[in-house]
Amino acid sequence: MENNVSKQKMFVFVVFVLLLMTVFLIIANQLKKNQVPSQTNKTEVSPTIILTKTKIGRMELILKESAQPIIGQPFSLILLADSNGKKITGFDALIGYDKTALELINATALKEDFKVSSFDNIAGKTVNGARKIQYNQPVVFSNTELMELNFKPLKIGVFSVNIVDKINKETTQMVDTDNKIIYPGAFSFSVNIQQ
Amino acid sequence: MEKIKTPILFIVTVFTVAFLWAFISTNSYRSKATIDHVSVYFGNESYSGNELKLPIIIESETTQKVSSAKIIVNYDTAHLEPMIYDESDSTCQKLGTTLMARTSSASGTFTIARVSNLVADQLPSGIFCFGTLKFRMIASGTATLSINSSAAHEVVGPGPKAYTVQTTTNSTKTVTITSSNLTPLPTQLITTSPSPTTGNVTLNLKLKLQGVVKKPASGQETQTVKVKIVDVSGNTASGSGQFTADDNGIWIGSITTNVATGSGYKVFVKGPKHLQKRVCVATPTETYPGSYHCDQGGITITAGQNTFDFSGVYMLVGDLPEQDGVVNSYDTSLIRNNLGKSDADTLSKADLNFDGIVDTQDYSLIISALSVRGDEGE
Repeated sequence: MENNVSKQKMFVFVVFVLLLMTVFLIIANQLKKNQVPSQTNKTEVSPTIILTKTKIGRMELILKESAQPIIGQPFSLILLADSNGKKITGFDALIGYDKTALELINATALKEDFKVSSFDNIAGKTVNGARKIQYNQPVVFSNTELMELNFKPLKIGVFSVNIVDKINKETTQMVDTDNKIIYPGAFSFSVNIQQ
Repeated sequence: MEKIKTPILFIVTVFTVAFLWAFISTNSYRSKATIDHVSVYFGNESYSGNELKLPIIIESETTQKVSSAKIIVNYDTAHLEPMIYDESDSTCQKLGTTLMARTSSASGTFTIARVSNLVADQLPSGIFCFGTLKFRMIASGTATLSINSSAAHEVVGPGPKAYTVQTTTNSTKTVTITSSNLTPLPTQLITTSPSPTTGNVTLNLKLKLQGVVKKPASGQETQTVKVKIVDVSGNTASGSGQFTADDNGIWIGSITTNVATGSGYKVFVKGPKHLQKRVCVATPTETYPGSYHCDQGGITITAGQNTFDFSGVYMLVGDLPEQDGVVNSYDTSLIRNNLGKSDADTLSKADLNFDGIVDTQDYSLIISALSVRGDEGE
């Protein structure tokens, strides 16, 4: 009788262990499946530099709103700059993005003391800023918002919007009051367009 | 009770084994035949003086289009020093010209990322060159470069679809550097194009520079203008000459050079603070400044004197010294930072209308030039 009870307990224990393993494996598989899209959809910021030029300051893009963009609904990126203490009178930022996935609707200047213009380039847009002559006080960029870029997402997925160092003869740069060209560290931004 | 124990045990065991197999196959076993994989490895290296060029090859299935990639290469910091990512090889431009590159001498890594601007059906697939890295060899010995399979490479196709990057035996490259490799190539002699006093062809030109409507201020009446002649086959002859302005602001000068005579020529003119203009006829005209554009050369060049009147079109301002072929923040800032100045050095760089002072007229000219952007090319 005691032997039978012991066998019964052993059986229940074995079944319990096997069920536990099964549940663990199912959960592990589910977690793995969920991790794949989260890896590809990660929002990543990676520095990009031209090796032959010394980098001073930086330019980067950030999402204006905290929520991830949704297909079909416009979203905005803010172009930020830091000139590392240098007084700036002009800048060029080369913005590159997948034109089949994102459509740049408009670009709005956020610094009233700069005349900001944007032009098409092969990768996307070139943004130029020239300090207006009526502003005499020197200006230093310190996480300064220069421009708002309004995009319309055309596809679902993860797409990079890059500040590109150089395209043909054009360069991402800032120019200080001594006419010295500053090549900022340029950061790209990955945007995750969701359904 | 005893009778149902065995089937229950059997069923639970089968389920457990099935899930165990699925788990292992999903997480551990990665078949090369799976189409989600691409291989990344080095192509054949080449040497030039003390420079080493090393192409990176991406190999995917022909159905696997690649739209962007980030590849990380480990290099030997004791023997190699990274140089700029080489874009001169057109066969390595399959992912477009967009360039991102960074290096870390501390970790000995060279990271390259490229994003294509091509539409999906034009994206590369199969075996193609992703890009060429360029290193300077700094010490003799054996240097090893590798594309480490565990690094955070990214190869992405349209969709986007992230491919898993795998390496091959060619993903590690060992190069032997001898002392002869450490000698840099002699610096290439840069030949400027001085005004040739001899040649079979002389071009006598009349030009109109944007912003100049009268005789320039004293000391600025004569300027150097570069001229290039291009035939239908793309052969070029170039030179520069001194051009002097008359009372109406028309600049007259000449260049002499050696060029085969014939028809179908285009002439490119670039002033000292100006964008290059392409002219295809002997007497071009335009309705408003900057509206003249041409493509097919139609100028006939004969031996001896050739007189062309290009004063019907404006040579647009915008590319200030040192000229780089594009109007950008350097050019606008050069004017902005020198407003009100009238010394000779500043005038030679920033006085666009040659009136003897850098002022708001010059600033307005350079701002309007931003929309033109660059030189007209061949």
